[in-house]
Order: sequence, then C-alpha cells, then structure tokens
Amino acid sequence: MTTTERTPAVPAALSARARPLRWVAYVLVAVVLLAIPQFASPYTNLQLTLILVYGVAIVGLDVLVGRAGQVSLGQSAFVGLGAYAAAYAFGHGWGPVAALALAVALVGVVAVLVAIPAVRLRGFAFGIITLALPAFAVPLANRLVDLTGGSQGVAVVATTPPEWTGQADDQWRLYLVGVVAAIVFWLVHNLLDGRLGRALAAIRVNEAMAAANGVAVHRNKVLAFTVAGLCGGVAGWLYLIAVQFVSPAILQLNLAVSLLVALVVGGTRSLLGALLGAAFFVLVPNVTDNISPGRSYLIFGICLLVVLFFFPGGLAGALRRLLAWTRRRIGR
Amino acid sequence: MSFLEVAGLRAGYGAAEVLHGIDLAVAEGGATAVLGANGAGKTTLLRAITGEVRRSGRIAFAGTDITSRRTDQIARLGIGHVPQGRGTLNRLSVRDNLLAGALLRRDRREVKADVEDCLRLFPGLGERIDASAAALSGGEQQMLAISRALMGRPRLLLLDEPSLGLAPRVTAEVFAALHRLRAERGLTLLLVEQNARIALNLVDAAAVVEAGRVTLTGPAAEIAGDDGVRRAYLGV
Amino acid sequence: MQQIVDGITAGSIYGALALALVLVYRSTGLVNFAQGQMAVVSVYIGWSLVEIGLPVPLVVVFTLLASLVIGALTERLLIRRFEGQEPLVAIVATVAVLICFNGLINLVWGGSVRAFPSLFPDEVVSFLGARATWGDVGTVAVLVGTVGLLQLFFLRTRLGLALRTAADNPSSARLLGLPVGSLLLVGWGLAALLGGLAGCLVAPSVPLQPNMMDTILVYALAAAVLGGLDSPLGAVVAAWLIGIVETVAGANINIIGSDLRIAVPLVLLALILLVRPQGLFGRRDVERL
Repeated sequence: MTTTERTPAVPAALSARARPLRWVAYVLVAVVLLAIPQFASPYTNLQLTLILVYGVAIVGLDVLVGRAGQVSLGQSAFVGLGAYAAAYAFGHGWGPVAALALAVALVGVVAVLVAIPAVRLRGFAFGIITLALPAFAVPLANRLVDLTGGSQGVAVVATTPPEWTGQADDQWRLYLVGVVAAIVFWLVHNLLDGRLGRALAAIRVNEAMAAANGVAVHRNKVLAFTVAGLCGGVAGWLYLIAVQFVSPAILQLNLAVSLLVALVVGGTRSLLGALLGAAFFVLVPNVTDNISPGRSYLIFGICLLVVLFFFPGGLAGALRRLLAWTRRRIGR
Repeated sequence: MSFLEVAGLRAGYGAAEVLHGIDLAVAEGGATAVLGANGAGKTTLLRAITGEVRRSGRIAFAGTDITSRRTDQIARLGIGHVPQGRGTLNRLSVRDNLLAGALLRRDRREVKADVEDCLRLFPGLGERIDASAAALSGGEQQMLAISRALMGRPRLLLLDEPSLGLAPRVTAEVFAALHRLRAERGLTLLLVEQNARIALNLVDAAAVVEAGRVTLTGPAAEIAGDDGVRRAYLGV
Repeated sequence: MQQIVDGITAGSIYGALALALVLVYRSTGLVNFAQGQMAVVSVYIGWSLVEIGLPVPLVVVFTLLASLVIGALTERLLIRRFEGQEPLVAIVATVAVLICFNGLINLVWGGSVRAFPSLFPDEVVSFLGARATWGDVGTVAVLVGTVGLLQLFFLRTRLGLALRTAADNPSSARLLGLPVGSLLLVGWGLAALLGGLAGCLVAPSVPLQPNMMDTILVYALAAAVLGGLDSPLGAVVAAWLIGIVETVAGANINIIGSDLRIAVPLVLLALILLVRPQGLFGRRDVERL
C-alpha cells in the first residue's frame, strides 16, 4: 500500500479549510479595490483609471502578439479610432452605450479589412506593414478637421456621475472603467480558454505545423487581429471617458511601440502581465521625471533594459516565481 | 592513456539528466561505434564531448581535459563533429560549405588540395559544387557534412547517425567512403548509429548505450556475436 | 526626371540604413529598431569633433569608427543576452536601447537643433536634364561603392565567409571552430558602421537633432522588408524604388502632403507584398517539419 506523495504544500486537513479562506481573501481584495477610489486623490484615481485603460489595450494586443505570435505596431490606431468615434458620438449627444457601439463597430470593420490581406505576411513583414496604421491615422486625424478637430483635438463631456451615487467625477470614472475593463478581461479570458486559444498557441509555435494539423491559420490570425483591434477600440472609448479629450497624439507610432513594450515588460500571455505592463507604462515615466527631468528618458530606458535583462518572463513571470518561492518556504 | 577518454560523464538538458555516468575510450587510429535505441542518449554523448550540452565528469582528448571547454575551442583542438541532421549551411554554396570547414587553416594551397580530395571521395559533390547547399538531396548533404568536417583536418571525427533518413544504397556509399578514410588516413572515428550492422562492419570496437548508461562494450566482433545485441539491434 | 534623381538620392540614404538592418537580421535574426538611433549617436560625436576643429574628412573617419565601436559594444553588452530568446523580446530590447540612446543624446548634447557640415562642395551639377548637388551625387556614389565593397567582402574574403557561416547556422559554425560570439560582434559593428555612414550622408542636409533618423528608420525598415529582409542587394534596390516612388508621388499627387509621405512606401510595400509575400529578392523559406 502506498500513500500518495504530497509536495511540501498544505496537508489534506488544512486544504479543506483553506478553500473558504481563499474566498475570504478574494472578497477582502475586492472590497479593498472597491474602496480605494473613495480615499485616493483625484490624481491617483486618474492614474489607476489610465492603467485600466491601457490594460485593456494591452490585453487585446496580447491576443495577437503574445498568443498568436504576430508582432503588431498598429494598436494605437485602434485605440485612437475608438476614442475619436466615442468623441464623435458624445459630441453629438449620443449616450455612452451608443458611443461604445460606434467605436466597436468602426474598429471591428477596419480591423477585419486590414487583417484579411495583411495576415498572409509572415513575421517581420507583417509587423512593418502594421506601421501603416498609425502612419495613415495621424495625418487623417489632422486633416479631417470637421470630424476630428484637427491637431487641436476634441474635448467632450462623456459621462457624469448620476446623482444618487454621490461620487465625484474621478471616482465615477474609475468605477465605470473598472467594470468595463473587468468585463473585457473576462470575455477575452473565456475566448482564449477554448479552441481559439489552442489554435493560436499552435500558430505561434510553428505555423506550418499548425496548418498541417488542420488549424485554419489564416482565419484564426484574422480573428486574433480583430480581437486585438476591438479591445483597442474599447480602450479608446474608455480613454475618452477617463480623459474627456482626444487628439492625434494618441494615434501615433510612439504609443503603439509603447504598448508593445509594456506588453513584454508586463509579461505576455498573462492578464496580470497586461495590468503590470500598463502600470509600468503609466507610473514609471512619472517616477523618472521626478528623479531627474533632464535624464528622464534615459532612466526609463535603463529601467526597461533592467526588467528585460533580469525578468525574461516579464514582471508577471517574476511575480509568479516569487509567489512559488514563498509558497515553498511556507510549506516547509 | 587513450586518445579520447570519457569517464563518469553525466549530461542532460535543463533539469533532465540523460547520461548517468558514461565511461568510454577510443584509441588513436581506432574506430568505435555507439549503438542503442532512440532516446538512449547517443546523440547527447557526442554533444557532450563537443561541449554543446551541460555536462560533468571527465572528458579528455589527446591528454587535454576538455570537460569545461567551449564548443569552438574543442573543435579547434582537432575534433570534428558531423551533427545529426547534418547542419548544412543552407544559404551557402557547396563550395562555400567546404571552405567554411577550413576557415581556421592558413595553408591555402593545402586547402585547395583537400577540396579536390573531398570531391574524389564523393564524386557527386563535384557536379554540384556551385549549387546552393539547400538544393542537395539528403545523401548528398550527408556527404557534404562529412567533407566539411574533414576540411578541418580533424584528428578525431564524431559522426551522429550518418545513415539517418538515407536510402540503403546511399548509406552504403557513405560507409564505403568512411572505410576509405580509415584505410587511407588512419582517421580516428567515434560513430553513433542505429544501423548496427553497417556500423559494426566498419569499426574495431563498440559500446551499447541504454537509458543513459553503457551496458556492453567490447571488440566489434564480440558485440556482433552477442545474443542480446543480435536480437535487439541486428534483427536476428 | 528631376524627381527621379532626387528619389535616388533619398533612396540611397534609406538604402545605407536598410543595409545595416539586413546585416543585423542575417547575422542575429532580429530587427534592430535602434539602428537609426545608434547612427545618430555617432553623428553627434562627429559634430563634437567638428566643434573642436577637426577637418571634415577626419571627422567622418572618426564617426565611422565610433559607429563600429558602438555597434560592437551594444551587441556584447546589451543584446547578446536576448539572442537566444523569442524574437519579440529581442525586438523590445532594441526599442529599449533606442530609448536609452535617445535619452543619452538629450543628456549629453541637449535637444536643440544643430548643423553638420558637408563632405562635398556645395555646387550644383547638371546632367540628363536634372540638377543635383555634389552632395547628392556623392551620396549615391558612396552607396553604390559600399554595396560593391560589401559584396566583395562577404563573397571573397575569409572573414566574410566566417560571418556568413555564423549567420547561417551558429551551432554548425561552432562545430567548425568559429568563435560565433566574436563574429556576431563584428557583424553588429559592421552594421552600425553602415548606419553611421547613413548618418553622415544625411546629416549635412537635415537639422541635427535627436530624432533625425526616426522617419528614415521607417523608410529603411520598409526597404529592408521589401527587399526580402535577407538580401543586401534587395534592400538597396528597394530603397531606391521607395525613394523614387515617394518623391514622384509626393510631387505629383496633391493630396499627399508632407505628413502622408511616410505612408507612401508603406502602401508600396503592402501592394508588392500582396503579390509577392517574400519581398522582391527574398527567398521562400521551405521549412522542413
């Protein structure tokens, strides 16, 4: 008779008790998260909101880049398109849901139209072609002054907190963005949990082999591209709600590259990674600016290199390793 | 002391250990075959000798301890390695593949002569000398890989499954060339092969590796006569 | 005709940087987004040398030497770590290097605009109905000469063969006794040299500022990909093509203002890749499963 070998983790008796403990922990975390906006300053709330906004954009980008393995430099165009669509809608008196619908519809159409031909390219060729998205988007935004307000941009009042909530602007926005972001994360997670996730993983590892195994490579890549674009569009709508202003700056290649960098820094194929990457992207430049305004860019670059050097799995990977290490120590 | 001496060699990939203490010796001018099934660790053995995998124990070549040397350093000591899969330089021509083997030599005229020698050993290569190496058939690529290793005038030649993926006639051609190399140049060989029959025909001694350990060694004739070997590897 | 001449001149600059990108791609399998910024650093070093009074030809020599060193050091210290990993991480590492170099330039030299002197006399020369400065002619001549030299170097010299071997199959190269790490170092150094050359060629006619190579990088990337990413000749031909199309389209199609010009090569790239996904001179990779 053999007894099953247990890893130096929690013995059976304790783990039965641990499960309700786990749920208590989750609830506590949720309560804390929900409470933060009540006590934090408007500036902090804005930062947190932006982290969620970019988190959504990065989660979408991850589907294409992290899961399907296709480098894309065009995500900023989708974010911008979503933001401008929302700005147009709000500016013309539409409600937030209608604005979101417009953003998503526009972005979806563009994404599919671009993806169908683009996806036939492999590797870097595809990546360089996606450069065309911001390359076209910025001049277009500057020129279609009637629609976009040109280089000055557009300011709108997107949403105001309903009376009965008693919330200030920044708090309301944080909650709204948080709820929508959570929904997006949940949707993407479910999407990737099934066949699409496996198909994309196969494509990432070896396209030819995936095709030989019956994966519809082209169709799945288009799907991944579209999901990335849609998330970008939603992020754009969220951005407008958070910042109430959009200008061509959001469409630029700069942002697209930054999103890609944030994705890798945070950790690919990980929801936590997307959020950590967004946090890095939003918070670190502020920190480096405070340290030394003249050297801000250089220090930021160095921070990037440090993270890439020492945490090949991104910040999420590092966190996971840390957790595993502490769990081993506690188990002893 | 043997030309190539391996003692207590452990090697593996990442956390997995594939070789659990291998002892092996090859005399100068001799030829030894390493036989065994897939996954037994034969390729890992060769890769450990040329420093391509994590290893511990002791590996000595012509008196020099090479256990912790880098691959390119080991190659420069005179060990040629024809890897599994041939390692063809696909974007280069056949001629450039051969010349790449001789990049560290200074004797221009001798290099030219050696190219001629290789073409004499494998006439098929001569016709394709300016073609892209990627266009060669599997057998031709094998011949190219062996020639390329020979261009460095190695003192010891390691061959990893030269018959893999080749038709019997082509395999016979390749091994005929190996016979000539032994006869004409007295080249020391360490040969990993799944085709035990053709390998035992070529070598003086053999070792059988199973699950990362040497289970049987001895002169080729003895190994060929062993019942276990006959059943498992010679299909008798 | 004038536009074609202008296009070839512009294309030559893109071509020099594109050559650098192709060289790095062939030897290490990654696209170096910092290639332009590395060139800018060496151009700034050149500018400092000009400020202390060195004659222009000597400045160019030193600038090229500086590029070589910068390229080699970058590979050894910063990039080598990422060479085995997935290409995405390596690319992002090059972006991080880009940011660092940009920050470095701002720190050491500041962001204000400066001027860089020209190697060539300012006079204008006229032929075939078009006008060009000696500078323009020199640029094209230098590029053509460089391509020729590179071909000779790679195809006829032993170091060239060693570099090609290491680029084609690093593990085979090691088995042949080649010091692959050092060869990659040389490869990056050479690529950076080509980038520095692009910098020197463009610096006299463009205001010297930290971001000066940003748009050129995009053109060079397009040219490299259009040429097939592993063909130096292809990159140069593609660069000329892009230069010509961009100039002609920019001059004749009114709707394309200065801000949309950068979209032109990308559209051209997209159109050609639609028909020929491997680029003009690229090879269809047959993957053995």
